[in-house]
Amino acid sequence: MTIPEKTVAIGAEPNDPLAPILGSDLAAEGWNPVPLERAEAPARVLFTSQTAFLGSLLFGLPETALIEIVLRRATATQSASEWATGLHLLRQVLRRHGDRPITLSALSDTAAREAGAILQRDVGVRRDGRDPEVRLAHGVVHEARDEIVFPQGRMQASAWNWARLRRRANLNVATGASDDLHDLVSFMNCPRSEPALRAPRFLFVVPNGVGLGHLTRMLAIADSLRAQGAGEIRFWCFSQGAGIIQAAGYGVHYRMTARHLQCRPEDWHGWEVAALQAVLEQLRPEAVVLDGSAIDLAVAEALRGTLCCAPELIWIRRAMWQKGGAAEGLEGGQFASLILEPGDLAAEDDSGATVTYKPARTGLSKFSVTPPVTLTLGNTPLPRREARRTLGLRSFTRKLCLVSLGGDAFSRQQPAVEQIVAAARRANVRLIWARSPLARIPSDLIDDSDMLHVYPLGRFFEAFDGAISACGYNSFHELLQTTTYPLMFVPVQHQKLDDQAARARYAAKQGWADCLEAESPQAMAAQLDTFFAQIKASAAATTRPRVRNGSVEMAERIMALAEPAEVLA
Amino acid sequence: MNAKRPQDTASLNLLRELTDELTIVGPRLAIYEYRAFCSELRSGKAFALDLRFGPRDTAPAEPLTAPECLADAWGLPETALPLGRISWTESPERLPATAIWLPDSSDANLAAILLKFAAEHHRDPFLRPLFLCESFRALPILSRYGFATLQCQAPDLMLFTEALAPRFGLTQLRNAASGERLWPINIG
Repeated sequence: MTIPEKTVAIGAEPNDPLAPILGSDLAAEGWNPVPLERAEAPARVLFTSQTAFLGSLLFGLPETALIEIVLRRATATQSASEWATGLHLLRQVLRRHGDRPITLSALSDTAAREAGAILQRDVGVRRDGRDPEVRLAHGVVHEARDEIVFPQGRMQASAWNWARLRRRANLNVATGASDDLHDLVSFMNCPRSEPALRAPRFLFVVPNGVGLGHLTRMLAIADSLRAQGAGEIRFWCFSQGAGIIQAAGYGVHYRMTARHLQCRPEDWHGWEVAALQAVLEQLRPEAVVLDGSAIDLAVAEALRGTLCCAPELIWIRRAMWQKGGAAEGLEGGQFASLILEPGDLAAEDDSGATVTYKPARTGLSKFSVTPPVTLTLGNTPLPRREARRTLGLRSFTRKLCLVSLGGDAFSRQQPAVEQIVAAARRANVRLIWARSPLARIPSDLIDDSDMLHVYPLGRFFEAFDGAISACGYNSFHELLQTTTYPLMFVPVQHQKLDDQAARARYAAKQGWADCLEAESPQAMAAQLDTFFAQIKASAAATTRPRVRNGSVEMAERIMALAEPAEVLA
Repeated sequence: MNAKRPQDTASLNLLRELTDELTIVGPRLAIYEYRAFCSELRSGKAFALDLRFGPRDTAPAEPLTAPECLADAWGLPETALPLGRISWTESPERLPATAIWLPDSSDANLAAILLKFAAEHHRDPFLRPLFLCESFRALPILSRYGFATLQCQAPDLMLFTEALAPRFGLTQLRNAASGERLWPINIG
């Protein structure tokens, strides 16, 4: 194995906030930082504290590497005498290693002076003589309660990697803070090493959604980022639709959830963090972009890793949650730098948690709503004739109605499916069923020749004379904005899904589409008969909204965040 | 402590009842799932994912190195592997965790390989499988029936298996088509 000449091994105690700060600086200076445990022949070893150095002696030091130890003052869990004892021990060790060039440094003048006095050696000061940089946010660290308070919100002190925190904020400490925290904060407020400019890279996290909604939205945003000059975009994907991402041109790591593996979540968590950190260390993205109703703690923990170069975390969080549903996922907002909500045309009737719940900790996260996000690249509707020819649909006498009921909706919606089939037969309308690639092959009610497995479906909307669809975010916005033919939404009720009923009712209220929600089988049959009559009459809607695609705006905001943070001086 | 006893007894009885019910319902569910799995595999559309993107100016991406090959996983605990929903056994955790290499092939070949595996696995579950698939095509159907599945390129297969072995307690890797043992390799 060839070791790059500029490999630097970092030895640190677990969760030492200085480690990611120095790791980021070294990477920006062109070094290749690796954890000490994995370093085979580093050119240099940097210990972020005397405790880390002393602990490593059990395993032996790399023989030829230059060694540097950052000497720290007493932490919150150390008394002054314990701290001094540690330095006396270090003095003995340094004497024994007298032939090794070991450099000593500290984070402040005071720390250098006090440690130097005990060690009777010269101790340099990192960032000596440089004035603090003034950043946009100012926070106060309350060490005893593990919290940072900013004017705009509070966060757990460990919520962010401190190298990332340093890009956004100046910090002060509350009364009673340890000497080490004083030093750390004043060091953080100094200018940092800037990495060489490059096209920003991104890691997209796609959760294990019920359908393809998250995946499709993420593809749309990734496409817009690529159009705006992003570098490598890679996916970390729990969706079984990972093959779609690869076909769309993005590298993808397929993952399995603890639930799928039927293993203990705490066992799964450690592996997931280790695997994700390995990819972050390899890719070194400017930001991780996650779409979902919560931020997985494995992602938050991986981002605190020493060597992942502290990417920003951007949370794409759709609204229209079901009323009264669990809201605790929103507390994860403190982990994000930016929360982007893809707009919803039915937002006026949103009564879910994203509207009603106020999280206790929001940290430095900024919130912004964009216009609705839909997939457009490679999904622009084909003209009717071409769409029909491509799909092999040759129906010259009967009207064609698309039926797309989402994920495993065929089994859940069996009564509605039977009614739709019967009504279409009465009206002599041919039904073309769209099956999600993630769903089981559905019931015997459906003729196989009338089944589509196509993705993306929006490209073929013009092939039809009407559509009956579930009311998920993507179907709702794509159909409303690209078609004029009769539409009927069939809301799917599922605890993991958004409030499809509210969305469908809103569309009906606006006169954009019908909502199939009849109280009795007879009423449902009558509603379907009316709908198919509209299709037969080639009725056209004229009031449906047409808004710009929010994926472009989302990409602009993500790119702005990925660029070097603004400072005032 | 005494005050809690009646409640504990009631909870214990409830748990026993649930276990008894699971023993009855579990095998029945597995029969249903097995039939559905076979029916999907025989439909000719089990791997159908008709991707028809319009112009995108991008070729499909190259497969990536699996993160487990890069990760520092020292000291992490072994995690469970599921049996899959087409089978039932009282103590699945006693079955060996086995990686199964599923190279990419035609739809008919893939279906035939999985049907053969399913028949054996349903009749007499003998392992807890981790399917290592060369392409993503079989992933949706395998995942749908509760199997653990990951994607892996042929050149990375041995490295990937070795990296995954401590995570899942893998004892061997076998070729799904031939049954041949690919790992560990016998030397001498």
